[in-house]
Amino acid sequence: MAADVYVCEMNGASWALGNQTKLSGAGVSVTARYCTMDSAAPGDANPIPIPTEAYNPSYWKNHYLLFSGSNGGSYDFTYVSSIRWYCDGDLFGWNDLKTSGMVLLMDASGDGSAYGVTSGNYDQATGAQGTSGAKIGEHSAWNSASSQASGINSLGNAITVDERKIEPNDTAGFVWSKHLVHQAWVGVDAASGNPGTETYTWVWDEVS
Amino acid sequence: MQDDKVFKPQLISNKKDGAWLWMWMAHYSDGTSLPQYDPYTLKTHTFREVNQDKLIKFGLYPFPPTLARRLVEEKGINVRSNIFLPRYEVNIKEGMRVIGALTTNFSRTTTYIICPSCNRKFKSSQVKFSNIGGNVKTHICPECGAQSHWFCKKCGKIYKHINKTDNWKCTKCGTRVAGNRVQFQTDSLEERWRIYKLGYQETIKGVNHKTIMEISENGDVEMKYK
Repeated sequence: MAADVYVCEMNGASWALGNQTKLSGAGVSVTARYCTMDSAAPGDANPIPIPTEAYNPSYWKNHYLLFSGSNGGSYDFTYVSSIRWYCDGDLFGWNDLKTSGMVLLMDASGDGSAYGVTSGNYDQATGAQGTSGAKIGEHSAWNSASSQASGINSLGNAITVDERKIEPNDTAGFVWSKHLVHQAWVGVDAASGNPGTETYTWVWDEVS
Repeated sequence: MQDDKVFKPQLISNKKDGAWLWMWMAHYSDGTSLPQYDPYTLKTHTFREVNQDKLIKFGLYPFPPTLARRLVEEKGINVRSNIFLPRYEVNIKEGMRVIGALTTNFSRTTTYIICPSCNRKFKSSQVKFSNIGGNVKTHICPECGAQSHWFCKKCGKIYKHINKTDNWKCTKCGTRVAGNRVQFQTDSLEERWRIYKLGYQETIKGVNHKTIMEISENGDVEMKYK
């Protein structure tokens, strides 16, 4: 068979399998939500309060693809490559930032060429639970010139997460893509209870 | 309101479940072949096992019904047999290198809203979200019209919107109105599908040329030359 591919979220203090939540893939369906707590599926708990001025960020999310597919101890896909992520280009009313919201993405390269972050650079989402998330761009580990957060001008365009080939790794039993760090910012005129229409798409090439 | 009558909401479907529709097979010059899935043992072969030296043809073939059923039932592999899909083959001549077993895969997740009244699912953009007075906002189901509303406790008259000038009183009997909140649920839905790619590349005068068929899941083909 080809690779089993899951969209996953990592939470908790460290990058570890035990802290991983599979959001989608074979037999899995978990709804991730932007919220003000470090949780993959918080339900309705700790939503993002609408601020009285400026924006209120959510806790950031660490999302990535998990590739597995062992068949009797050996992998049954050759490699995956060209992992991209994009949305529908109108994220939370991107054209109307002042009244709704936006999403910020971690820019690992600093030049907009790649947004993936390695598992070694994972950092737990922080903030004031129930109130507000810490801003990605002000996070001490990521606000250097070579590793900074930035808004995306055109979210209709694909964002390259990882261009290198990911080869099967027989010892680990799975391989990860780099992870995409992102958070939602809610504006002062956001409508309570309206989730907006958002579409997130992962794309990857696979040689089976 | 006229727009409401002609508006045809598009219900979400989940037909794109990521099932594999074609399997590949390599054909060799000695008359043998290597299928992606062995029809007897169900063993999986990978593209790296293909012997490029004696490869003369590489193809994509719809899953035979029996093999598809066995792969699903015995191996848990998500494949689907559709005998109406065509097969695609590339003949490999000297100097040509096959581009095969390659797919571009999509996983698309969309938010949607569930109407608590009719229990149907809609994309968020298809559900109106409007103010019904008193700074109360509600979704309005495009199918059954369910929404949060105001009502008179005495005579039962329902108001889908109320104005400040009415002073929160029933225009029929003068009793103060109350609110009835209809709570719409939100959730997300994932769709998966892929584009199959098959072709060849060859080096002519030091320049690599690629010719690739991009095959969508309905069998449509787009030829690409790079």
